[in-house]
Amino acid sequence: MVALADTTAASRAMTDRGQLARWVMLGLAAALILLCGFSLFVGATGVSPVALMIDLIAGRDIDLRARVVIMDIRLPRLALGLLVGASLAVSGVVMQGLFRNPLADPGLVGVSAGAGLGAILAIVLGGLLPSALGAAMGYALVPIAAFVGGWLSVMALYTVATRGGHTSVATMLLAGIALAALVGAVSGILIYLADDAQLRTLTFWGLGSLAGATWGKVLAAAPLMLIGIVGAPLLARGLNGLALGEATARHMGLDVQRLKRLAVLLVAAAVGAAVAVSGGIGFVGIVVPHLLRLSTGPDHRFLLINAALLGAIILIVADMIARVIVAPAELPIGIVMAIIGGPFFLWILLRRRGILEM
Amino acid sequence: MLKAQDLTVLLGGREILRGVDFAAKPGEITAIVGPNGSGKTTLLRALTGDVGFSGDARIEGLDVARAKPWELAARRSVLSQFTGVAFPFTVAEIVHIGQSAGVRGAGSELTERALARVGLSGFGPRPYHDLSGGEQQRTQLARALAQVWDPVGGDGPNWLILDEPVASLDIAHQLEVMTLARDFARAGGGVVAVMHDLNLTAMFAQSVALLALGEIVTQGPVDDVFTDQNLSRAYACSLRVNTVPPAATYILPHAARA
Ligand SMILES: Nc1ncnc2c1ncn2[C@@H]1O[C@H](COP(=O)(O)OP(=O)(O)O)[C@@H](O)[C@H]1O
Ligand SMILES: [Mg+2]
Repeated sequence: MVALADTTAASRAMTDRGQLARWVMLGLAAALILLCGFSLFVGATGVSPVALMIDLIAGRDIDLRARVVIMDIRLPRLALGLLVGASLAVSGVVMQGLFRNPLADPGLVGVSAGAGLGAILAIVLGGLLPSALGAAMGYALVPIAAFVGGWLSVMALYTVATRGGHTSVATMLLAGIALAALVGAVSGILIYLADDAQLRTLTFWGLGSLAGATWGKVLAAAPLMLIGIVGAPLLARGLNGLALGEATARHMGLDVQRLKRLAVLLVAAAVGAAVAVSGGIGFVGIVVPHLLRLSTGPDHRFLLINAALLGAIILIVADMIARVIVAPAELPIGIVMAIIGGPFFLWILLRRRGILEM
Repeated sequence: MLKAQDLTVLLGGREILRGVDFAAKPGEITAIVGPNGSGKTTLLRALTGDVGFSGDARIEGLDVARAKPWELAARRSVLSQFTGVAFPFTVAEIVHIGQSAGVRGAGSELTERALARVGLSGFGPRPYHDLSGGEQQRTQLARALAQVWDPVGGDGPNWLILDEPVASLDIAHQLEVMTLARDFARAGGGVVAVMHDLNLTAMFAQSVALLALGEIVTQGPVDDVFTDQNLSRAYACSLRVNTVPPAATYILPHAARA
């Protein structure tokens, strides 16, 4: 009888965290919807979507400028922010699950850098493609090249840093530094080859920004990002199993090799496309998963979905800050994220000093 | 039936196991004993398909080298010697992962019963990383038990494969865990366990394989294997097998060597 009472306590505690995670999911979704509405108001030009709606309903002629600002500037930018934020946060969770380590962030370990190299190559050398092929690929060329770059870097990283299912954190981080240095060098060379227009694109892109979002860009990169965001939750049970170690995961019936291949592809797709359209926006992939694990636990069934929501929220908030803080000019969002994320990351390290010895 | 024939395992260019024949019957605890580094863990890792080997290994007719992970998982679960857990999971979550990653549908009720079975009632909400070594080990055992909860499934016996299941446990929990294994076997399941404590082995196991330097010295019923001569040879020290009234076998180190 005693055992029975105790064991129901156990199940309650387990479902408690699950319940909390579900409530957090709802809360995040609601917050995200509100924020989306709000972010359409904020910007250099004082156009309000409400005024636009009122005009529409009243059957008045719609101010063309207002329509352009909302429909062709703010809306694609919002869509891009949602997708990029969710992609980066979800990739963080998947990478951390794959490497079984909470520090494996695509930005920190050079995956974003690898994707960036792909993007730079596409921007600079894209013009050399036969024009028919170039035209056919259009906006999709950069995301696809970034995907390939990201994929190659995750593979390289995994090969270097992981032996028999055990990841050496030091090796992983050092390999990330090597990858980033290599990418920096190659980009440096490519910058000599670039013409003026390409150079402007590169500089802008490198700072990490959602400005210049167009529907064309969004549509070209969205499929890859959606593959990552929607596909990742399907790996939740597998990543939970992998947390107990590669051998144990296999003993429990998981096809570990397949799981790892899929995880690598999803990360490459999401990070590649996100980097291609937004440049290097850092820290989302480490801040978001960390906050969620602290509050609702590491169960990937909730973590992956909540990370997508919170990642989108953080990016949209950062983008609003970027737009208003030096108005009428605007900061690249990469800078805003670094200002938020840098100290946060240091705080994580302070809290868990032993993290590198893992 | 679990049966391995002529197993040879090469690791790092060395033959760790050489031509090992091993068999275990459902309904029994089959212990694997032998000195440190004799290849006990390696034999288990071959039986669970974790290392490549030449030879043949089958669990209830399933070819270990060829079967899919989920086919094997439906038949046997494994407690490894060392299991690290990444991320701050709770005890209940870990047991639950064991059920849900594999084949069976997960129920929190089974999680609770498995935890109660290893003496961890009420530990469900505790963070795994805060537990003592022995408690962590019992959590992992509950996880393994929950994976193949029924000793006999619809298509035959299930198996528990345990690497030193009582290594860091106090004496009461050693007995609790060994009793759990015995109950599983008595209900028709199969248990293969690497053991260090020869007395505990003599108390609980029906069959023993004695391993030394990567080869089987002898395998058979406990009383046949546990002789002064066999043990002294395998462990390279003088051991004497005795019985206390009423007829329980025990082993004491016979003499410290000068
Ligand atoms: N991956 C490996 N590479 C090389 N040698 C190994 C490896 N794993 C185990 N060994 C060696 O094989 C021998 C048997 O190891 P093991 O099966 O773990 O022994 P034990 O009987 O103590 O469980 C030891 O000498 C060990 O050093
Ligand atoms: Mg061992």
